[in-house]
Amino acid sequence: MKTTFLFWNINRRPIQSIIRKLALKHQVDVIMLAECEIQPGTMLSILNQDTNILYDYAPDDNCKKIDIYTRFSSECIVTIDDPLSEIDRLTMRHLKIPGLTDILLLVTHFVSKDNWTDSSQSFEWYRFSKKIEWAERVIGHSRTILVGDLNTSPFESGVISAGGLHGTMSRIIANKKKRIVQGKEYPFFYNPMWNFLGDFNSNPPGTYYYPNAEHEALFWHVFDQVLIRPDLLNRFSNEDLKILTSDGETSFLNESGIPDKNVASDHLPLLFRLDL
Amino acid sequence: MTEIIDLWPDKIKVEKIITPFIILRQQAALLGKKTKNIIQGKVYDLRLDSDLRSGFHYTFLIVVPALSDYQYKILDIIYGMSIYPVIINIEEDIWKDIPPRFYDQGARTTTRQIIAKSEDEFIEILRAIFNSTKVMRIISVLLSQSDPSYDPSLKEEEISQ
Repeated sequence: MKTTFLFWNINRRPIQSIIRKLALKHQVDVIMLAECEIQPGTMLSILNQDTNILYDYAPDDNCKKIDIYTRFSSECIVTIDDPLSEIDRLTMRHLKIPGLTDILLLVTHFVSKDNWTDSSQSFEWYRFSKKIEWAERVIGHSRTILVGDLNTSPFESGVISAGGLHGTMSRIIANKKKRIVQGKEYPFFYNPMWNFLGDFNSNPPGTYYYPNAEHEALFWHVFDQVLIRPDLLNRFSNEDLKILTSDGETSFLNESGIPDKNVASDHLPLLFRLDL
Repeated sequence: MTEIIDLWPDKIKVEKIITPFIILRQQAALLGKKTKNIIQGKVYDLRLDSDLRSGFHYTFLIVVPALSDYQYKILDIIYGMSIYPVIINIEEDIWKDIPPRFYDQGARTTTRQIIAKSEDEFIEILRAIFNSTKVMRIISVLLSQSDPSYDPSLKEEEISQ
């Protein structure tokens, strides 16, 4: 049985009922929320209504921007703290479920383009990549998955560059594990979110819609992403990654097919599974 | 003599014993179920921090992850290899809520200790502690603090086993 993860930037909306429906519908094991202002007690109260499999709240005092709820004991999702670093937009967890393969789960709500330039974001991604590599040395492996609202597109410098996340669109390339640039090795991430750019298949064209008024306008963005290290790729299937548009009863999209922030959020949730 | 002789029985017979530690762990899990994991019970081993050289020493805490892991100690227990009697230490305010009949069964009224001489007595005393006015008040305050929308009537729901 695969372990199911849900990530959603909920735009400070009180949509705990919708989150519960998603959790039940997809039997989510780990719920990760950004821009969540729902009190943990309130969320637990509704998640754990009429069920024998209770969710636990697993906070990280150093990263208040991400809330995590899990059907495993919170003792299975241990926070890794780097006392020398003060990145409060990334929570790093060692997910150790008895009987299953342990992984490094990284969840982020990255800085927004509203406040930072693309260049500044790139420099910050460099800091993130160093922190990720540090955590992997602490844990002793690179079975790493990074998920969150990256506020950066899959094709932008911070995500693709070797000094950033080094996320590639190809499994074959990612399975090479690393690349040498100017004499230095840089490990790869596989970024399956490239497959969600545009409307070629039945998925929405992205996870976030923003019709800016400039000459260059993408309209749809894939800011919410999942990136996987090659050491974990054999446990991940692209078919197990979805952008959700409904909880089964309520559509998250308006009549124009755009995320309806009055119903749910201005972001769409990501659902993925790992065969641990 | 070069050969090692095995002096142990061929089959070591294990008697199934429900120790006070197990009983506390069960109650800790049930508290989480009853409060939808807003409030959790935790049982910690205090032997490393105590003067005990043998025997067992555990503490039962109420923990609220939603309140930055706020903790409140309800009781601690001490027992030896014979299991019973078990010494139960509780705070003054909770001890006042324990019915006097437990005092008559060997309790030391000059201290905040109660002694349970059997598993049945231990369970009865725990029941009195967990149902005491003080403990209920603590839980109510913590639930109200954690979840402003918490409906006390939901506490009456039967959690099916």
